[in-house]
Amino acid sequence: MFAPSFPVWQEHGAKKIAVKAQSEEELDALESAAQEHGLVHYLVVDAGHTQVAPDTKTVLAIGPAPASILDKITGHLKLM
Amino acid sequence: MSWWGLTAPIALVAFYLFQRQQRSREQRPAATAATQSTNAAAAATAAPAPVRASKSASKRKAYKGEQLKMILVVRNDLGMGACSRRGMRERRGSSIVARLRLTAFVRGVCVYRQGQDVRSVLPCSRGRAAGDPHGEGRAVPGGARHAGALGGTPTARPAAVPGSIGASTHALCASACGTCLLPPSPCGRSMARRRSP
Repeated sequence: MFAPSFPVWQEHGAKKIAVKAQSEEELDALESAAQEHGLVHYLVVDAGHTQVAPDTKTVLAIGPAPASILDKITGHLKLM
Repeated sequence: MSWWGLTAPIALVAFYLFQRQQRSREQRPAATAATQSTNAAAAATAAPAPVRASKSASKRKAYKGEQLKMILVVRNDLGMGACSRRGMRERRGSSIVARLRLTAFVRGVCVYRQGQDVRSVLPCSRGRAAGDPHGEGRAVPGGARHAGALGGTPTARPAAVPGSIGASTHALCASACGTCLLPPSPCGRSMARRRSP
């Protein structure tokens, strides 16, 4: 799954911004929003070897993608 | 010689000198203004002075398209402080960004899929982060500092899962590449142990 913006990212880089979500439902909603917009994304599901239970969704990465589209999806989230 | 004959030439010379001084005083501001206006005109017509800018800023400026972003959404209700800190560190660490790009974009696919050892590519792999700068799966004395300098988690704990990477890095890498097969390491494990007495 390669986005057309990959060559641009490779050449020019991108900002990485860490934000926080309050619940698994919020993470799911963000993932489906990313899917709807056709953005590359990945949701990490923890194996549960340590602190959190198995199959816990912990981190969602979205992008690289144009900032204007990403802001529509994650603009309301607070910085980490 | 009379008194008048003596003082008249002196008075004339003094008057001449006074006039000359006055004339030069009047001409100096005008000349300065003229010079300044000439300089300003020359500066306006010449190319604009180069503005010192960082390399990345100039690169961004050179790219006329829309700016790209990567967003890392971390769940805040799990107490994943270590994970988020790692995410922040990665955000700052340009070497990790560069290596992530390498990982995702070498010949278009993740290098892990090409049969290469990912531990030699990712500085944030658990092996390196645990004080093993070369990713050999063993702790190296003093390696923790080196791992920290590389951007990994500075902990002296031996590698639990050599070759695995942090959840944040895995998410970013997998999002970019879409083909990452590495298991994310249990997030925050080493940091939590480090904090406990």
